[in-house]
Amino acid sequence: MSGAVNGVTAHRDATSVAPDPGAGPPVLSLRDLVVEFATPAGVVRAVNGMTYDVFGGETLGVVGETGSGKSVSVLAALGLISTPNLRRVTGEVLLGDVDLLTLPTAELRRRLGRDVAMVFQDAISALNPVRRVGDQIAEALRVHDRTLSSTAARARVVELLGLVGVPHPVTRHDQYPHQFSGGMCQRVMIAMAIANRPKVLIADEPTTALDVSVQAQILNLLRVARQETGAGIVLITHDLGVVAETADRVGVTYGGRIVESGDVTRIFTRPRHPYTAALLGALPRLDSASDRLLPIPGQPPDPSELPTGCAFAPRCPISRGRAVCTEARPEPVPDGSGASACHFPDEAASLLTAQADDPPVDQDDPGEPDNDPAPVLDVHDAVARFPVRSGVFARACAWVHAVDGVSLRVPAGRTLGLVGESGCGKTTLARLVLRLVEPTGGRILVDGDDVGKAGRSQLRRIRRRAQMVFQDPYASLNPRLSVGDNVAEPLRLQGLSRGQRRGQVADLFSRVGLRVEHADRLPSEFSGGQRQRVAIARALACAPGLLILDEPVSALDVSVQAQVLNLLADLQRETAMAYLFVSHDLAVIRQVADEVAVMYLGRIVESGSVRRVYDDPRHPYTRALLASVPVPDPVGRADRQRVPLGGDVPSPVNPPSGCRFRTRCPIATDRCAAEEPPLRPVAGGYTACHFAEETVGLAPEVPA
Amino acid sequence: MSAGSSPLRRFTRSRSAVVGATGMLLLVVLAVFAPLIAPFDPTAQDGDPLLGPSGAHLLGTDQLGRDILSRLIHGAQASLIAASGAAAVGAGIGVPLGLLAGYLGRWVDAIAMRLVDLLLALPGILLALVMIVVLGPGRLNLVLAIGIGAVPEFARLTRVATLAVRDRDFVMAARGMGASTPDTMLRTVLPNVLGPVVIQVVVTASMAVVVEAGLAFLGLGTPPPAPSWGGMLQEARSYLYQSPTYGLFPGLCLVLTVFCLDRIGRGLQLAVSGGPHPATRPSTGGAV
Repeated sequence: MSGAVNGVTAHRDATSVAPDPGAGPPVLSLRDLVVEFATPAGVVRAVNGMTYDVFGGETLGVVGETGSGKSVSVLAALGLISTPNLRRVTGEVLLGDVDLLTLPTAELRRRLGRDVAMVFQDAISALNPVRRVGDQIAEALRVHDRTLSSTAARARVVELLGLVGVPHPVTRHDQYPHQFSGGMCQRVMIAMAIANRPKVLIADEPTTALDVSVQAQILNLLRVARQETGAGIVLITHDLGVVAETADRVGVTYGGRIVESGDVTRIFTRPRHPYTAALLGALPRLDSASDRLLPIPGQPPDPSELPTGCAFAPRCPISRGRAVCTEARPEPVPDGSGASACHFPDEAASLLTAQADDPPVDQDDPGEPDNDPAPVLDVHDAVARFPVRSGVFARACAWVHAVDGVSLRVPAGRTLGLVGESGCGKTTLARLVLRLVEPTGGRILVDGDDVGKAGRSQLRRIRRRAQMVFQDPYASLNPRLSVGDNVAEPLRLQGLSRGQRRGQVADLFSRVGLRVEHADRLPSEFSGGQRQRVAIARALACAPGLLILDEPVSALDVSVQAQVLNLLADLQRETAMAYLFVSHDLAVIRQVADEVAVMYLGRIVESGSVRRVYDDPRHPYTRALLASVPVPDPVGRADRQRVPLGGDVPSPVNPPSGCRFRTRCPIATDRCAAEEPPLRPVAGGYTACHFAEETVGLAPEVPA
Repeated sequence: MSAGSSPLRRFTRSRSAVVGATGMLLLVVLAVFAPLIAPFDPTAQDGDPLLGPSGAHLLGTDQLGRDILSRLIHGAQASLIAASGAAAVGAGIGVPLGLLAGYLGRWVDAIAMRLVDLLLALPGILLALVMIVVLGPGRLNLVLAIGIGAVPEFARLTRVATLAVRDRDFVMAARGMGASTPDTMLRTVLPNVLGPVVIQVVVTASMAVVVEAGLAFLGLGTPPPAPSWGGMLQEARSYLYQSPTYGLFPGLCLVLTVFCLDRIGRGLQLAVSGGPHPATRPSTGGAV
């Protein structure tokens, strides 16, 4: 341990994340940080003894699920929490050898932005919309250096913008945030953060709001920023893939503290805490679809009543009710290159290998679709355009081509995964199926009935056979109805009596793994995963033949996500429902889907069986997308040359001529601009690229 | 979360709201049981005129020798009827109008909102004046006159709330499971826009109390000899020098009523806006 750490007591030493040998004193240390909030439900201990060190020039990944205290701890450490119900912040936050918690506000403020800088998740709302971007960066400089002249500041800002990869930095300097895309805004935020060459750079979910291709760019940029400034980076994220790709050391948070820390390779290959091991087992993988995810049972702990023993004990696969787990809080024990806060780290270590040996659950590899039965959903050349209105008479002056000629078929009992970046039209397509959005053209058949031509009563009948599960379980349930009534709504609409409804609701609740006694509670009393179960129960109420799942697990934590994905798989096996599964998450799609369709700017660019699309992608977009996804496996990450896709998705108002991907495509030629490639059969799937046969020889890394 | 966040709990946690609700309850009891509680017949001219407060007549008598306390107690009826009636008329017309306009949009919205604009173009009290003059004085006309003046607020408020709810996922979900438009509007949208409407009811009620008094002061309110606070104020004006306390008491009654209603409105606002504790909701996209 380094000199600065030696000053504190021995047991505290043990709790810190082991340093890189020879890294010098840590630039930022959290010691036993406790953060409490006073709420109507009692005292909530959001952070419960968080301890970690960050050293200069390294990236520490702090990874954990929602509510594990990973973000709150840094916000509290920097004095950025100003809610009146903050009850206390105790412990030590050492920046060099100064304890930030004891500093007066004025002193603290002088250090924020100069010695410690933050990059937030939502860059677009973190920028002031009415000020020029360059001026905002310059302000970060001048706040800490009053003598800086405006010419010098401008020169430095232009230099910074160039450094973070904003093209045309001189012109961009004088533009406003709305003229920047999300990825560009995040670049600006990073420029602002590194403007004063801070010692510590804290990135709080810096890529969560971004698409994978842009995420890869930003992660690269963080690496550049670290080299440029020599700062220690704290990368707070929920995404194990991001951590595996970028971090040197990792701290895993659970119940408000670090439960395991260590070298990134160790964490991912030889975890010594059951939570880490379970998290890895619950994660859908991009490289190999397991037959069944291994979810962590139960819910994350309620921070208002943390258990006295190990916070993970109620969900732990190795605790098995042992008294020591529920009574004594395990302190992190250092071993080798890390530390694990588990009473039985050796048993935890054997967990991951044991899981790998689990026999696959009845895998009936469906192979090719047998005899092509009539599909439950048949979309033929669907088109949806939205007018962009302007002027006094609100005349449509342009059209957003949200969905532009898409065809799909989903047979019973099968899952079609629809994947694409935000704005590619996948959600619009999902809504078209139920005509929640009016189609502009094309034909959509649900069980042979034309949705577009259906009259009012027929449309209502179709909508009962095809149900939708929405992304945000916090928004998709009527907050004024109890969860039982929410589930019973479709039954009420069918005219069932109250008694009949009650019986069916009880049945539906047990099918999705909810307790019937809870039917009278309001949705606000449930966690995200439970709410999504309620939403699924509601969708099942009419015994539909088709379920449209619009990002059903995107708002859920990994451990809960696995529960919901397994539930969906079980339900499909029982009822042979067809699923249209829409997601931006390539790993989730690989896990659930039989067939995949990749969408880009309102069109399908590639489709086929999961194996064909993932293992033998022929469209340059699919290839780039797959190469951009962070893989939760640090081994060999140096060999994985991840050259991200450049640029941003063009506006769907005025899509590029010919092939829509040509503006970002590494192999585009003149032909691509002139001629739109049709979706044609290639290598057992369908690809819309003129050069589909030639892409196979391309190395995954494409020249940027 | 536990009962700590139920709307009733949140309402009762605000002390001033509890004070307001208690005061209002007292007033309602007084108005309903006025004949039992009032010591004298409010129209009986059996005392000496313009007495100050005394043992026999606690608050004194008016220019015709009627007991002021009894007239105040009976006058509460007029005020409360005006208040509740006007709020009911305003909400009864305004809420459906706003709901239709907000949910259906297009031409329904255009027509409804132009109607509302028309009403808004006239000051409420002027509108009420004109209506009373046209329809003639009387309790029902009074209620109608004040209530119709309150329609625009209800309609606009409901419309805005409906617009905010209309595109939320759970409304989309209701449509997606085959609910008809009226069913979606009544069962899914309406309960979710009622929060602000309830507050507006209370605000309208307190406004109606003042307008009713104003109209009575102008001689257009409850026709004499029935007592009303505004009418008493108007009469007291002529005898300000002979009996300064005469005008004081109806004025105080008005102030207290409006104060109580205002406190209730504030408490309701807290109760409605509270919702689940923010800490229990994940931040946007904060998913693992």
